[in-house]
Amino acid sequence: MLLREATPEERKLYYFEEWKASYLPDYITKSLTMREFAFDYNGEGPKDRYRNFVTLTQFEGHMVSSQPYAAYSSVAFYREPQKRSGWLSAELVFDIDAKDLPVRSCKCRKGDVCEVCMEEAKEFVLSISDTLRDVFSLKDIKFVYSGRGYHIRVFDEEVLTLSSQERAELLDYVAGNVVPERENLKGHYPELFIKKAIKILPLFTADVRKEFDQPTIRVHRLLKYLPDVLEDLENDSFRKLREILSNKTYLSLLETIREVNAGMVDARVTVDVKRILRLPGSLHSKVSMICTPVKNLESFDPFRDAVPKFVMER
Amino acid sequence: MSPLSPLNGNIKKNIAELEDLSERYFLEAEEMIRGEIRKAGDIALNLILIAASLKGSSSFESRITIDIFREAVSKRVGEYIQKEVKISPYPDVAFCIALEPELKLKLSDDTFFEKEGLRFRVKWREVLPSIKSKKRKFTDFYIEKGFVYLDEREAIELYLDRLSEKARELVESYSKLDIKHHRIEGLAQVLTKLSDTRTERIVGLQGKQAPLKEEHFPPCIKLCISGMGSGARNYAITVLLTAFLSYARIAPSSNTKDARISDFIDDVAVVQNEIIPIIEAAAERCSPPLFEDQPMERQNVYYHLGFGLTSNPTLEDAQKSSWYFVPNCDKIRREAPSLCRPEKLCRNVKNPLTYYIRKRFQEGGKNAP
Repeated sequence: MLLREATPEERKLYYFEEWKASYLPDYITKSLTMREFAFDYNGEGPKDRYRNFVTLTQFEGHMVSSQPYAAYSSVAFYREPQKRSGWLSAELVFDIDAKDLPVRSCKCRKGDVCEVCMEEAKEFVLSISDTLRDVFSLKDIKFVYSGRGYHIRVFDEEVLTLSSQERAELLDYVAGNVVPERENLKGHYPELFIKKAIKILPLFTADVRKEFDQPTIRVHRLLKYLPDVLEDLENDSFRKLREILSNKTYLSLLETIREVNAGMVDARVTVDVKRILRLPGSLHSKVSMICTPVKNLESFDPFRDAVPKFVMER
Repeated sequence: MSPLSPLNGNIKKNIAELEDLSERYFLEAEEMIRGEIRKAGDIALNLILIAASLKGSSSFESRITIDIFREAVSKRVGEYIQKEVKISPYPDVAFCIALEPELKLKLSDDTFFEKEGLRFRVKWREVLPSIKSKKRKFTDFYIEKGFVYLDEREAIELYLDRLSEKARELVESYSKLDIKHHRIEGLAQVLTKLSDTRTERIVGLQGKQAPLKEEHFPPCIKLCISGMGSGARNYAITVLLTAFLSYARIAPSSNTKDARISDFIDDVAVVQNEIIPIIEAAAERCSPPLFEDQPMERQNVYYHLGFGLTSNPTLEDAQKSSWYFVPNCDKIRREAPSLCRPEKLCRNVKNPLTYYIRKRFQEGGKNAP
């Protein structure tokens, strides 16, 4: 019943009977006039771009009358959003999609999601937000359940004017997309990389071997010694890994961990300072779920908190 | 103002005073450019920046100028630390003051970091000039609670990065003015001569046009050629492989952003007979085959080569779109993580094209084509 595409009638039900302009979070309503909006009316992509609204009533009218398949707003703030010109600044955004996670402990097929991989995506979101808070001291961080994953939206002054390249570098840090060079592995970044390795290594199965070109023997060897390896890693050491693997294999494994880390976040979203992002409160018609602003991520359950009424009544 | 920075930021005054400047400053600037002296005063260093601006802020001359400027300031910083900072009763405080206002450096005031030799700290945004210049990555630093912890050497490097960034901005500002001064024009010519010598050396190292040698391709390109799955195939074929093959075959030494294929070849057959067949074969090996699945991508390949959306390109079409340059390794790692399987040589290069050029050079020695 869940995650099935919404029919035009169901979309109508949602926007007529359930959706309200108050579903929009403050960070959208307060900057309504500075954002570009975009709409997809039939599931073929957001072809109605460069839309701008002067009042909330005007915006509300458009949503109710058009009942879009999908609605988006820009992460950027513009002087002239209807032309996408006069770029002023942009939120820093991270897009974690459960359907695209490179390693998952569930049996989902590529492109599908379930409660298990949604939970794993959530854990990854939490680890990124911890890094943003603890390392970069960023505080104004919001979460949005996007339908098949999560968006992290950061509003601190320090990040709003970052260039695309600077955002990319920041992403590399928080996602763990660089193999640490320092041998002693001290320092925040190497520790972060190790923490991610601890999470990822137990998920290394035969499927991972296929996906990441790791020879079977290497994966088996790794799995055999995994408890020792993990214990070592907990103590910030790669000693056991080095012991059981040749230098070449060890380096290749670190690269695989990096590759998995990099695949957890859609980098194109983070580096694009003019990106449009699914609008909080709108319906993700492909899966019939509400794109929902999340107040408490730890207790949030999309299958309880983001289901539209029409799905409950199906 | 910092005792170390040669920049006063007063652009108009600097230009207005050019007429009254003594000839010795111009001579000093010229000697500095020629590498005959390694130190220069503030005025001479500013003259070099003004001269570079005549060539445009993104010219090779300007890049060389920033290197000269950086080296001169680095020398100055080293001497100042020896002569003034080290003899101070509070050397760390004196060090912080010396690097102000370019760098808002503070004492780390934390025994843990001090033990690690990281005696100074700055807010994380202060390292952005180094990130922007691609000299450093965030992952190189020890960052905690919004502060980057640094040792003395790192702090100096950061200071030089910031000052170089300011110098770059100054060159850009000067380039918007209409500066006419025969001695400045003379200095600009000396810069051009130096730039020509270096460009010739680079072109010599990078080699000329030659048939493609697949055995010299980097691992990411070999992966593209072997065919990719549905997630990465568009990026692999249309973006990466297309850009790589075209630049590697046609313009391995091109460093301009607005290059066109027609600037380098007289016959489009090079594209049709030597580049497209490799792309077609790679696309066929994808799962599912890319051009069967998305026929439009075939035209998109030509679009990325600069011919616009077409299936029958001619050389005259070569300015209809941009000829996309080969993405850097960093970008590939981020946007298509599964394509990056680095090997030893990859560790020292930042772009797949550099890998190919080096490998070709290693194989052929100085006589490599």
